[in-house]
Amino acid sequence: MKHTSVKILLYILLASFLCTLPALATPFAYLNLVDSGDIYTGDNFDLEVRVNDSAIGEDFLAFGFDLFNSGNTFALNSYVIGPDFDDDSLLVPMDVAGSMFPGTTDDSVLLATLSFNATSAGTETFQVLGLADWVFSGLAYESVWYDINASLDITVHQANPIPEPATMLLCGIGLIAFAGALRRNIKG
Amino acid sequence: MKKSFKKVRTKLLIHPLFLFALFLLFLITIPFGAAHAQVNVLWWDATPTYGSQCPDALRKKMCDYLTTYNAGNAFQCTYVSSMAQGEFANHMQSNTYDVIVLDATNSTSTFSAADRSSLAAFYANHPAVLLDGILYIRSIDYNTTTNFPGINQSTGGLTVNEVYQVYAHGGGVMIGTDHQGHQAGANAMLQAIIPGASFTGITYPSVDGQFNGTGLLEALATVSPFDLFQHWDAVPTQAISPTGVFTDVNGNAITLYSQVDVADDPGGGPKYSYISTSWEPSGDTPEFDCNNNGILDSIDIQVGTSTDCDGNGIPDECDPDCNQNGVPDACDIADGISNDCNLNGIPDICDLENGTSMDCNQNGTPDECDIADGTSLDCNRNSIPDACDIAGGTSQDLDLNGIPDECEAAVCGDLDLDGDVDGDDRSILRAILNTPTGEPSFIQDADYDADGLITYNDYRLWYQCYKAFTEK
Repeated sequence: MKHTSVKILLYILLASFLCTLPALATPFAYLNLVDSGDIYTGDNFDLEVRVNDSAIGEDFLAFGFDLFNSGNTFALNSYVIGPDFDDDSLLVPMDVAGSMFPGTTDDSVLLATLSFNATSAGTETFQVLGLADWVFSGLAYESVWYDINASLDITVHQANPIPEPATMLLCGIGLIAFAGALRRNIKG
Repeated sequence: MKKSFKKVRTKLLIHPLFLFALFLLFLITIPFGAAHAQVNVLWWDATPTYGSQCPDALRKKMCDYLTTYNAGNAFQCTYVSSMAQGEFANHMQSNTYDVIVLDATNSTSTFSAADRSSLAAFYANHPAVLLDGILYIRSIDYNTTTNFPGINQSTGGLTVNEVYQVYAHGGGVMIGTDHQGHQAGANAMLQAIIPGASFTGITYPSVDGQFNGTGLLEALATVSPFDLFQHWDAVPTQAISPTGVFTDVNGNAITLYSQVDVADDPGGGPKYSYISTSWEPSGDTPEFDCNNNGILDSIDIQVGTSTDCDGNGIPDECDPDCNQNGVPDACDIADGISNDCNLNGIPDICDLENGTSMDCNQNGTPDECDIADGTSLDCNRNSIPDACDIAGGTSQDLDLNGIPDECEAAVCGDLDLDGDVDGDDRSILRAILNTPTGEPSFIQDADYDADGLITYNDYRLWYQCYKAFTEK
């Protein structure tokens, strides 16, 4: 009987521990392509920089990160800071930075929306990086800092692909051959 | 038949009606000729929108101002906003301009190697250069002084004069940017034409500045330098434009001269170039006859009709002499005849007489100097010595220990010393983000982590004070 009670107590403790796990989650930044459709050269597209699991039991106050892209398939046009933040990008030595007052305990926070123009076809990795330096880089909470490190592979397709003459010729011959075969079959 | 036709044709050529028609044709071609005298300008905007502060519409406003200036007869400005690499080079392949304005305030360069080569090719035929470290704040949504075209059209007029001066010196490139951290694009393009030159640093502009010539003030539009200094004084930071001798991309020696120098707040210290050019400013400086004796000032000084004890090129009788002792104030101060403890260029005695400075403890020294040298304390930072605060009733001193009570009950996070911790205090801290110790605007009490720089970490620590205050 006593043994069973201890077991039940242990199960309760384990369950309580598991329940607390989400609250111990670490805030993480990620990139969200606003329109999930294909991107073609000449298109403009938006990328949101967001933080999830931000509710760590204290207020989120400020952030700063730099922008990196690996090639020339798209270029940054502009950005808009998240609606809860003041834009500090011109005040501090980070590409994008903002602070809010008062802070927030929301679990999901929009840091900024970046607007790009797709310039050439290809796949390119875009990264936002703000390693916590306890100065301006990273995510600043009341008592702690966290890193910002998120990346996304973005593919830009060539707009309006025009069939090459040879392709069109092959296609045409195929169609004629198909029609011929069909006609012979019907006659037969 | 052939002969008579020739005769008729000759007669026609000298016929008055024919000559009148020719005259009319000449009149018609005059406006056409004037249209061709327009300066053809490309305004290339590579500055991001920076939230709502700097939308493209505000950058375009400067280009449009050029186009509409003088009823549209002076400039034809083409505005392009692009941050795509290679697009500048593409654009230049099919377009020609007299002057290119690169409006490039960004932390990451958006110009490719092809863009830089394209600019170098343009520069080879248009080698005049104007570098502007204060272009960004000219048309942004920040405060009333940054609304283009500025106080009394001053920033509009400056832009007109800048572009016109570049054109007048053979056509070329004007590059504009802003303070450190946002000079990447401007420097990438600048170094494509002058490899050793770059915009640098952060300055904290004051009204204490001087134009070294009048080309940028009078070339086409008349601009008051004071209006411009007021505009710059109202913004937090600016960049320093390069000056000195360099070698350009063509291997030619090029000297960059300062057109305007401005000191950091509150003034009185070293001055930095905000706009530099590849031509000397002195050539644009007009001659004055300040004493109206019919002799130019420079001649007055040269032949000894007037003295110039401070060597500022202005006859002494035209310089300020507030104590009316016949000697310019600057020389009184330099010779030690008058004190100038607050370094504002005005003798202290005049500061006290005209109310520029107060002397509440009546010790003959301006209060700000008493505070600066420690003769008087000013714990609540209201620029009034504590003893005067108490004597005048501005502060209470219930325990009669000579220290204002509000200083003894200092509240953590109360940067404006109004007894609470709120958004006003946060605004003070935010305004000095990234300010290092030693800068005039640095606030020691806001450096909560004592690392000598106001950062988000200080905001984090300030926020803890705020929470503690609100929970109390």
